[in-house]
Amino acid sequence: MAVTGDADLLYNRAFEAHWDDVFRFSLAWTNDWPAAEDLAQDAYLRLWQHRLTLDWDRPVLPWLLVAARRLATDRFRSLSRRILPHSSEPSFDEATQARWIDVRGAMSRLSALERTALVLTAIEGWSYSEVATALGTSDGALRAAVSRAREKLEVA
Amino acid sequence: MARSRTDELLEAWKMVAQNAQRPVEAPRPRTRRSSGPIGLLAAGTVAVVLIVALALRGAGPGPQPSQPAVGASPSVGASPSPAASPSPNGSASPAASPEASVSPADASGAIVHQYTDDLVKGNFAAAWALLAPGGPTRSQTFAAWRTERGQFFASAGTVYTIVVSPSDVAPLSTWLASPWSSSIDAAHALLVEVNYAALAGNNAGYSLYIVNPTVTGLAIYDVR
Repeated sequence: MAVTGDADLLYNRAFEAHWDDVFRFSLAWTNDWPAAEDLAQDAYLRLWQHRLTLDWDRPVLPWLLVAARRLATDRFRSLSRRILPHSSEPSFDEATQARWIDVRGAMSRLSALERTALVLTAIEGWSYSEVATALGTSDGALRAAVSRAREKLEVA
Repeated sequence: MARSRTDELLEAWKMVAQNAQRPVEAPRPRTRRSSGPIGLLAAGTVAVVLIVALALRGAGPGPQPSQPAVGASPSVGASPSPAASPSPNGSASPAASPEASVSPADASGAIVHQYTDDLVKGNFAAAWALLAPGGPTRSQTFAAWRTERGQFFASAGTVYTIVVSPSDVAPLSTWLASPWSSSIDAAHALLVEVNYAALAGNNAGYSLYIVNPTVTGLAIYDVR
C-alpha cells in the first residue's frame, strides 16, 4: 500500500505517461471526441480513488484501460452527459475536421469492441493478448472482431 | 501497391488522434463539502431551509422567481410539515414578504429546486414546463426526455443539494451553445448545480443548469 505522498506522485506520473493512451483507447471505444475526453478523465478519477491501494509495481496502463472500458459500459455513460462543456469539443483545422468526419462515419459501422480491437492492434501495436485482457475478451474473439472490423471498413 | 480502405482510415484515425491535448493537470475529484460535525451542522441548516422552501411552495401558485431562497437545499424525500418551518437565522417568516427579500440567487436556486423536486416525484410535465422552450433540452421530444430523466432519477434517488453559482465548475460563458446562447442574459443568468447524494463521486452525480431571467420569469437551460 502506498503512502499518500508517494501515491500522489505515482498518480501524476501515470497521468503524464499514459493519458494519451487512455484517451486514444477511449476515442476508439466511443468514436466521440468529447466523450473520449470525458471517459479518460473518469478513468483517471477512478485511479485516483484507488491510488492508495493499487499495486504500483505492476503496469498501470492495463488497469486504466480496463477501468475506462468498464466505465464506458456503465449505464451512466448512456446518458451522454459531459463533465466539461465546450472546451472538450475538438478544435480542428478544416482539413482535420473533414478527415475526422470521414473516419468517424466509417468507424461508426463497427461495434465498440471491433473498433477498439482494430485500433489497438493495428495502430497502437498492442499484442492480441494485451488487447484481449483490456477488453475483457478472449484471443479468439478478439481476432474475429479485428477481422470483422477490416471487412466492414473495406466497404465503408 | 495501393493501400486498402481500412489502412487509409486507420492512418487518418491516427492523424486525427494526434490532435489530442492532455489536460494541464491530472484529474482530481471535485472539492466536496465538509463532513463530520461541521458537515452535520450544515446539513441541518440546509434541511431547515428546505422545509421553509417546501412550505412556501405549497402556498405559492407555481414556479415563480419570487419564491424564497433555496441556496442549498437537499431534498429529503419526505414531506415535512409546514408547521415545522422556522425561518433560517431566526428572521421573520419568508412568507411575510418574499417579494421584498428574494435575491436573484435565491430565486434561481428555488426554481431549480422546484424543477428537481418535480423530477424526483415524477411530475415530468411540470418540470418540462420550467425548461426554456428554446433551450437545449426542449430540442428533443417530451417522451424521449421523460424516459431518459426517469431512468436517471431511478438511480439518482431523492436526496440532492443545490448550489447557486458553484465555484468549482467552468464559468457560465463556457456552457453556452448555439442556437440558444443568444437568448441568455449573460449579465444576470446564473449557474445552478444539483448534486445527487446517491451518485456522489460519479460523473453523472450532478446536473448543471443556467437559470435565465426573461420577461415572463425565470427559465431553466439544462447544460449538463
